[in-house]
Amino acid sequence: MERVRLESLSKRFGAFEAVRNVTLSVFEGEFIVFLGPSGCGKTTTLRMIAGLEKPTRGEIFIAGKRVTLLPPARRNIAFVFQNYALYPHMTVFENIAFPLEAQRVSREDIRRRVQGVAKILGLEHLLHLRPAQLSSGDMQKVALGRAMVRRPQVFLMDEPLSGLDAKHREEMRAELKRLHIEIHATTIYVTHDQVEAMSMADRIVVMNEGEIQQVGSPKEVYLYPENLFVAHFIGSPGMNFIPLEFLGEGRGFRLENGDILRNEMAERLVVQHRVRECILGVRPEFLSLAPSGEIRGKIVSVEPLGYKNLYAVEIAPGRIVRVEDMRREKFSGNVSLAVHWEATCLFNRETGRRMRGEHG
Amino acid sequence: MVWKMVKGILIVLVLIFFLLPIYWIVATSFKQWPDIFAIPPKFVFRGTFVHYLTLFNIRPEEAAKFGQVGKSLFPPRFLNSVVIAGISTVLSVALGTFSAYAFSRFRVRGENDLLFFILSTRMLPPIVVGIPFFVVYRALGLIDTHIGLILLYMTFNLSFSVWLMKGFMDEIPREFEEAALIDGYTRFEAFFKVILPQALSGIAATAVFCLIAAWNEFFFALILTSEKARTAPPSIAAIQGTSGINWGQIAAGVTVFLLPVVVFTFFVRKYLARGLTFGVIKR
Repeated sequence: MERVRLESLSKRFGAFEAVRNVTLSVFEGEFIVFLGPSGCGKTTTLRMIAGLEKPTRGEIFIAGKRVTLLPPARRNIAFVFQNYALYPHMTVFENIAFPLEAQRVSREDIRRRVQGVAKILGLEHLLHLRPAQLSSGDMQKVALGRAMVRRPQVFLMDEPLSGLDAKHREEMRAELKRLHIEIHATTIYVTHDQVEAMSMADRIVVMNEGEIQQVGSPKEVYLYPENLFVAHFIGSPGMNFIPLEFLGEGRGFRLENGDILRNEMAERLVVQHRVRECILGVRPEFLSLAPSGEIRGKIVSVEPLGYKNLYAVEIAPGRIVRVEDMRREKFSGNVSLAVHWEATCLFNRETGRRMRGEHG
Repeated sequence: MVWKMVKGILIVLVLIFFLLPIYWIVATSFKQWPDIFAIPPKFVFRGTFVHYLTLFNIRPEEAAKFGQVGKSLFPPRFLNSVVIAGISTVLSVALGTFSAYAFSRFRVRGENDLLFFILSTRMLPPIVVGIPFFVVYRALGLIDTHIGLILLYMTFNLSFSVWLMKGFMDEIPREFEEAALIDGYTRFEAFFKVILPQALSGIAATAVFCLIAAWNEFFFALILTSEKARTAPPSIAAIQGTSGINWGQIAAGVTVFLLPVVVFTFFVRKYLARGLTFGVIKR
């Protein structure tokens, strides 16, 4: 069932268009992650859902009800802030109880529900402390507790883990995932960290310059990026782009260095789309160093990644591709690369969009 | 080690420099009449409460000895000071806090011009507007009224209060009230339940300064009041007997006059020390 629906949502700050025409449905129990570089409009979108920003255009529905103009208090949502925003003059207990007091829940119920949440999060022994006395990981848990205690329609989280160090971040990521499975809360989560997005999301919404670039499962956005932005933004390092010129059916593609690439599937796709200039997108792990590969190049640097190496290979003047391969022996100088065509994407060079075949 | 001793001696010297006048006044208020004028000054003397007793009309029969005519006017005027300074402080801090919140959180049209205008009211020396105020107050029937001085002090302190509180409000992260708004509260409730407790140290600091300014104000109290609403400062200065200035009673009056501000500052010093909010919002 649909829990949140955004319809052509836009937000303008003066001349700056922060969010453009965002349309999205979030389903019950889903964990949605908004992912994008800073300034891409993901936080603004989240704040509009929360009611902290008024949309310039468009509508917001929560649980079937139009809430576009309702104040945050009447949307029954919870928001976890990047900096936690715990009330410093209240104890942990009072912080978690604060939303319940607004709903005039009885004292006994408040105690019971706060205790319940504290138990799930392992905060029972900290209830009498003030936020300033807590570690940042515990502060984060209190912020989560305050969000959970009211059983909201949607959890909204704005980069909730960015204030933690790497180790705590990993723990909290697992904790959040466990909580999501346990209480099955519909969650919209904003981050610029693709590892968080990949590891937690049911679906990722990739945004850039105020617009949705792609909505899909982590696997979809990784393997089948809709456009060059998504292809490059997702993955570390991002997808390699190799410009190709189509020479005609049966004659293959010409690379910048003059090499000719042949692949029947790719040629069919290009013919189908009537394109001459295209870009081959291939992730570093789908290229490999081969004795007689299809693309000639020269290794310019090697980064050991433990059991794998990350090679930077120059295939034409100024055109460097990254290759992830197992090869352990010292490689240097001229090599050739094999392309794993089944895991490649072809982009229209003019529009930057991926060309889809008959089967997506 | 030597440096420590030098530092200690320096501190003592500075303290003597600043505290001597206060010691002098307090000591004088307890001295017998001849000791007040003794040269060299007496540091050991037989104390007396007579100046306090006459100041508060507890022993009026003693007063005549110092040439005082009729009852001491200090008690009602001290009360006037308390009422006028107290109410004007509460008003200017309250108004200042609300306007500072608005300036800090909402987009106010012409915000910078407005803030500058508010500040500009402090740019001329108050004495310049003494005569115009007198004329206006006379026309409005505000001469020698409590409300007249309260309004005046409130106005003079308001610019200061708005600016100081704006600084404090700007430091309180917006996320606090946004969290409260989402937690189910109205903006008004969020202001009182979340923002105000955070702003307490700022409010305390602002209140101390407003109170001191209103409490010590002399000039307008002198020209705009005569009897009913006269405050302590012009009144103390005017303590005279038939045989000259009654120094003992002046000293007693000044000592009593010092106390409320000292006590008030003492009670709010907990809030003056900032740090209540330290480390709770990660930036």
